[in-house]
Amino acid sequence: MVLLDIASNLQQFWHFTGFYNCEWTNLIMICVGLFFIYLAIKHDFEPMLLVPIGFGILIGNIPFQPGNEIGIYEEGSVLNILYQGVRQGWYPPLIFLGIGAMTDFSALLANPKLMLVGAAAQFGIFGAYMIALALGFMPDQAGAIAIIGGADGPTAIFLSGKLAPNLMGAIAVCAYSYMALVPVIQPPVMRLLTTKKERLIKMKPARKVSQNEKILFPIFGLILTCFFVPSGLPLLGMLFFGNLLRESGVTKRLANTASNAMTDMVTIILGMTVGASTQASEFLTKETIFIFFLGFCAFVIASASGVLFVKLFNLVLPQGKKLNPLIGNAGVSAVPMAARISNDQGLKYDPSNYLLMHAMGPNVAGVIGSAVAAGVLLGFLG
Amino acid sequence: MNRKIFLIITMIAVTALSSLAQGRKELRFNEVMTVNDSSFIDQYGRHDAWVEIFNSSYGTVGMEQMFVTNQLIDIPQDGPKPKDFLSAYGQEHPDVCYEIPRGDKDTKVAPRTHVVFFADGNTAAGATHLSYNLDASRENTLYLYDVNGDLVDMVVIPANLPADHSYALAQDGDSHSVTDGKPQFDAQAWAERNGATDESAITPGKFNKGVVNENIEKFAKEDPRGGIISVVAMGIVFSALLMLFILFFLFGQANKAAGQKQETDNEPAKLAEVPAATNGSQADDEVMAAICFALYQHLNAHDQESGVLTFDRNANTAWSAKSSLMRELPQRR
Repeated sequence: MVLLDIASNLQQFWHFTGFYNCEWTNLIMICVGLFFIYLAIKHDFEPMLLVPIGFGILIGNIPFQPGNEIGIYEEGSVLNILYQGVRQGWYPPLIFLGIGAMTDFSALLANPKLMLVGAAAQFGIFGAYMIALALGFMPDQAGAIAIIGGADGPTAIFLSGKLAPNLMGAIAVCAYSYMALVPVIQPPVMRLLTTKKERLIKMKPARKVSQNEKILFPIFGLILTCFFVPSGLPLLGMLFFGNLLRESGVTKRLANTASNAMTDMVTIILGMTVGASTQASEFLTKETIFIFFLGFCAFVIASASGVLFVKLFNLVLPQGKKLNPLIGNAGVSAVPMAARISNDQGLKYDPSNYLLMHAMGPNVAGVIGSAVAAGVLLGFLG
Repeated sequence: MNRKIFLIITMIAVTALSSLAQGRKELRFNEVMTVNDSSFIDQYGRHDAWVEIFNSSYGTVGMEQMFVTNQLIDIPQDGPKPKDFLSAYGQEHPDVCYEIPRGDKDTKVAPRTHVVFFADGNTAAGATHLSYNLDASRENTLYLYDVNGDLVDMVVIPANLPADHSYALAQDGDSHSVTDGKPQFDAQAWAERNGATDESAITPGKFNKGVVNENIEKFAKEDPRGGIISVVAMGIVFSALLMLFILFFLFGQANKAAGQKQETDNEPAKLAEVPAATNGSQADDEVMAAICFALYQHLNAHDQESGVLTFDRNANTAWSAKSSLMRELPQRR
């Protein structure tokens, strides 16, 4: 009798184990998680993001028996509580606060016309939106997927959490994956759309930017952008607030905390929970394949539209003030990766042509532009 | 100190309790069925009359120790506490008053969701089983009481509802009017449903009215290719950044003009500085620039001006430094 009881308990225990509950889809997702961790550690691809996301995928795909408040989708579980920050959109604005506190907008202020390059690159979002509609997605889902073209992880999470929460895991993983692959995706597009002569254009060194301008920028930036798009307030408000903390010069401690400790903490939790939200049943679907395809299209269109806009802009700019089209790709907001690519490509054709600081202008404008675009989509479709 | 702590704890407790009470006030009777022949089943596979309650708030509401009654109960003002009175009343008259027990997960209602109670007179079946049945042949009036005796909501169910027909609010959680602090029943907001069409669907545990985002429907219909929204949205993005461009272009021009004026004013002083600045070989300057840049990258130091590294000298001594003065207050042991 006792032996029977023990056997029954053992059988019950066996039913609780991951081995019993495992399905092949769990194993596929665990391999995906391991691949992310491998890319981050071995190839240094966005390790700050891919390590938490990769490990989160492992956590989210350990098989278990539902009903014990363990899983990320089970109300009341620890993971579910942490996931609320993603689900309700608390984490992305906090990340934006940190981005604001660590971003120097002086490259943009020194040459404000670069803001328009940042705006032009947002066409990647709307180009992908049109393709997504053609593939049969509903407008809200299409908007959530298209924001991948902004190349901004927090913005993608924020918008998809509002418009298409069921697709958020796939969208976030796709956005961060392509951000890590920017060095692979962008250079061929840049080379394809520029002539050798254009790649050799040397831009004038940027002027000095006064402290007053730096302080006024976040204040006027907030007022002007948010009067246009109030729905972008959570992101833009925090971005400009973080930047004022940095530039005011009197809140160094707050700026340091926002840009270091707080951003690190939120990044850890955000990355891990986004990874854990990619449970096989939710992630391994036909939609995910479409999302990855659309994300790729969005990145290519965004990079191309930035480069083409600079070429177009050069037609009206006087000689000596022309822009090097190689900075156009930086209009996507993958900061500072996209600007580094502009610099690398510039140096490849002229070892004395440093484009980094010039490319930082459209790069940080892209951050603002993608947040505005997200606000517009939220306003229309939310 | 102890008094302060006591006050703070009391304030927190009062705030927490009042917010809890606030959440409970947002509970609404949402849909009922008095004759259930082949409709919704309970967890035992039985067809019983049911009552759906909707949490119209944006926070989770625990319903423990609330009372669902099918008659108005006169709670004496100067007797035992309302909770004790209702509790005792429920024990004496289980055929009209049901106290929702504590500690059951099913009676914690997530924001904007529903909970379904079965009127089967079988409390042993779980916390969502009322202690009484509903007599479909007569008009039933259900009341929901809070733990402090406040009436939260009420519904008057018409007599002789046909089998498998429900009586539901047109709009989930529709707000009711309140007179003398008591909710009033608004028959206009309720209607009988037979499940024949989408509009008259019977929806226990679900929204009575499908949540439709009109914007999405509109864009799907009017702009199926996304061209209009793309052009308009790009226009807005461009406009916002164009405004910023114009503003900071003007700031830049003003700044440049001011800088030129200052340069002209300070020209003699600047000339005097030149020998000091160029004192040393060019190689030394480059080394200094490299050191400064490395320090800038390493420390993420904040520049007053682009391209100029600013060092803040710490003039504080151990006697005056703020950080040294931030000591713990003396504590009584």
